[in-house]
Amino acid sequence: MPSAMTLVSTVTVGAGGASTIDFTSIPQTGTDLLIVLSGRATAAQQDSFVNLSLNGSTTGFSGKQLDGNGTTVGTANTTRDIGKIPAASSLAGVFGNRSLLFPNYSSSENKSFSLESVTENNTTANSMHLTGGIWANTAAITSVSLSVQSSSFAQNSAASLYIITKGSGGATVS
Amino acid sequence: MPTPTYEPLANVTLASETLSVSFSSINQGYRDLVVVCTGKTPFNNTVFATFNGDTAALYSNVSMRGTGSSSATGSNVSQTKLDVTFDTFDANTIGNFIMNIMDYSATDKHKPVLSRSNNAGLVTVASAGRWNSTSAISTITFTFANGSSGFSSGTTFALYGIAS
Repeated sequence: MPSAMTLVSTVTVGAGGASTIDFTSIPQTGTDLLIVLSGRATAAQQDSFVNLSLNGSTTGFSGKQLDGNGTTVGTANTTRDIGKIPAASSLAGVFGNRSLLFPNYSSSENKSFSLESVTENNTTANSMHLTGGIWANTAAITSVSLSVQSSSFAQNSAASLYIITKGSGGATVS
Repeated sequence: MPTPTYEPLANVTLASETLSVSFSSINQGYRDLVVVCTGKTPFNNTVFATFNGDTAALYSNVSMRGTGSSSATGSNVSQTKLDVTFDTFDANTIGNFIMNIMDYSATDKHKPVLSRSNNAGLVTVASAGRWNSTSAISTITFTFANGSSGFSSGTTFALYGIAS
């Protein structure tokens, strides 16, 4: 049986860093879209937010976030940030990870998503975020762009994009 | 070429409001199961799951949630069904949940469930649950609220198997 999860593309940041990580011309043959990022920022600070844009759009994003840093738990309303990654002042060699899932990314409905992100660097700048978000746009997702607020992705940051394809039948409804 | 391990097993897109969605005769040849659902419900309430039609008081969970203005945690023990979404779904904003069931076909352990549930207009939830049974899971049934209202038309459910 073919796999439901297919790797579409992996982007690895080279020497000099990159302002964005982009996936374009996303195949519309799947059901769900999964983006996995391992990132580090170049800014001279502990950490930096990663921003998301879809189909070149930076508007229409909202969400609910639950976060913890080992000391306190918090919650916030979000727009298009998808959590923090370690930056240049954090422990060397540490990258922050996140997993972002868009069910039904090619549908004509607004695009809900589920996000888990973590940044652990053995300091007080540890954090993890759980976010339930939405892109209030009925267009199919054809491109994804990741960027860092007021910074760039450092060398060896990497992101992969997968499409997940549903099966058929096998369910009973009543 | 690596061996595929994440495989599509079943899927449904609801054509009308539906009270119950079941995946039955689940292939026992995988290690873990993943259910992905996206959609709406007629009003704000929760989605429940039962396994193998079991409605005995054998389901427990712990959860944490954030609404943007408040956070909370809670737990339930010995329930007759498993709360999967903790009042995440409603009629206004399309929501989603992802449910992971590890070792679903094992007969020597209770069944652990990890879930994430999201509604950008209401709340994000993470939960861990357990079905107090050593039976292999062959059927998963999802119902909404008190069972007299259903999932809205257009809601989708997909089941995947992860091979060991």
